[in-house]
Amino acid sequence: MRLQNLLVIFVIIALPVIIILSIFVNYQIDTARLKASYASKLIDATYDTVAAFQLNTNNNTYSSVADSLMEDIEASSNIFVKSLASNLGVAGASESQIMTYVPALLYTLYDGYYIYTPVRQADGTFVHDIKPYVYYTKTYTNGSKTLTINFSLDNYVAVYYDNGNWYESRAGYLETKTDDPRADGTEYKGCNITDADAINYYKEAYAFTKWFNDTVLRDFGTTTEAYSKLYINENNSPLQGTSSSFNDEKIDVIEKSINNNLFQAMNIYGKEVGMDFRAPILNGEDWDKIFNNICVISFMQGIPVGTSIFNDYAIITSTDNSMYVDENTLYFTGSEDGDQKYHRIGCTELKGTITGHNRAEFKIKQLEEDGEIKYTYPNPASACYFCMVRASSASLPTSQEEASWYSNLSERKKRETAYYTALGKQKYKLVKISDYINVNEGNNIEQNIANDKVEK
Amino acid sequence: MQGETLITIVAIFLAAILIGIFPMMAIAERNDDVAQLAVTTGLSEFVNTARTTGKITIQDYDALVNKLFATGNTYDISMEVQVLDENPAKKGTQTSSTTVGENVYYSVYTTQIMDELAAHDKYILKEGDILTVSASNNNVTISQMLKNFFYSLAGNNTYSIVGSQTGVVTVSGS
Repeated sequence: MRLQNLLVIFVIIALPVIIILSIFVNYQIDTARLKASYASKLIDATYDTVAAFQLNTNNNTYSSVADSLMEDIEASSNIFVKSLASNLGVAGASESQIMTYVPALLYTLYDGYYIYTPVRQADGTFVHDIKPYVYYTKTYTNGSKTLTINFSLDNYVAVYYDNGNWYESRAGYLETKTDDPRADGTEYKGCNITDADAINYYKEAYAFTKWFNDTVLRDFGTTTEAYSKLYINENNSPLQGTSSSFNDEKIDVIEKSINNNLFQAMNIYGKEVGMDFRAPILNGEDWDKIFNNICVISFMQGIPVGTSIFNDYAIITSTDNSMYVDENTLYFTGSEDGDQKYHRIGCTELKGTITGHNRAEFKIKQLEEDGEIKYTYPNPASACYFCMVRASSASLPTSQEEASWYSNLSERKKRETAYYTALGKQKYKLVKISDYINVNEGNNIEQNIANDKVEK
Repeated sequence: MQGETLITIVAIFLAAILIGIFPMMAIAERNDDVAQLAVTTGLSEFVNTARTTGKITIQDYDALVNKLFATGNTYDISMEVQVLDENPAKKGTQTSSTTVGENVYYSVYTTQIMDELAAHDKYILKEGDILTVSASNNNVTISQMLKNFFYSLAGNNTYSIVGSQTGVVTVSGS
């Protein structure tokens, strides 16, 4: 065969292969770009949702009331729709179309969660709506005795106990036995507490823990699963972030509850509309965010993207809300700051007598005065450039600074005292949905607990 | 006879281009495309992780470097964090209560971020900061080499694989 013929045959075979391969690879690249772009837009829309949620709840005095909170969540979910549609360039009439690819929005809150998911209407259509609030709850039974516990992200629990002959319900904070505050609340982990609200917090936590351990769990049965997992002692701390059987049980309850309800919500909707929606398997890092923060998780599934289908989710944690107190929500000022600044507790620029504050004090507030909108900051201190504006510098001191910081025991004790005082004070002031079950309120916590007991 | 020899020479020349160089260029270009894909997804994952966790960690940075270098090229990776400063806005509002003051950003660049990663294994970000990460290859890929040869492209600073990703940090890290 002549060389020219061989050449023609080669061109006929190779050229289409090369061209098709080239088109395919470019198509794959476009698909990957589009997927990355969608993932980024989903994160942005979820972030806007969290921002709206924070703005609404921080400016709503009644956000701890369930109905009011639902309004805030509904408002923030509308922001999600608008933001996602706008980011994807389909704002306007197509907004509802894009929501068909969003089988669920999950709001994991302080002691439970809401799922915003399509719900079937009377006319057979599906409209996104908020499902009833689900608590992080578990019920234990032992013969005729029933113990139901609502967990929260931190050491707050609501306990409903029925022993067959009497029943009692209380909600409060649990504290560890080894770290026993004095019964009168004036000392915690070796630090003297002087603030009235903080004292009340530690006093009530002590009495509540004692009641939970000795009245409820012992009566429920010392050989039960609840007793072995939940009895608070030096080896079983209820404090957030510690490794203990109490926290393992709590995490297990939260994970199972969210997985079950989310799976159900997404599956039902998927089957009804003929799409294959599935709750994704969240990884350890994702669960860690959920166990330690208030979060919004958005799911987007089933969008055809190039050669594949876009299925993704975004988890955004809320770091600025008034539903929850942890170390990140506490800011501190020092009496020896020349130019008044607020800091984190570990900042080397924090000097003099330390006072703790809730983060909300340093955030802008909007007021209406004589028909005019005015803006104000409850606390005029500005953010420290070492630990707040650029967090990296001072919250991570060099090893020398760190060594001197920790070797100075009086400085360390001063900071610990300021921290525990602020933590106790802010936790005590926080209003909880479950607080209503404490029928008897007042200064004598032991008496209140005794009075709440109801004989059948 | 002479004409046939000429055709044969032209045919051999064409065959060399079509059988050898053309497929080689095509494959080299596809190789760059695949590298481009790795850069696009790697940067996207890196930026999204950093902005949703509130920190750049040495592990995440190493994973990005490994992913990019696994394409067989070497890259210049540059990072910029635009740090949000709300203090001027606060001072502005305190001066005039009917207006909201303006926030400002100042930038921290690759060297400063890398110094902090070396010292503490992480660089903490806060909500509202803006993170931008870019990568471009600094070696000459086979595709570039062939293009330079055949199209007589000149200059050492040309690159064929480049990507950039940016995003607002959604959570304050710790």
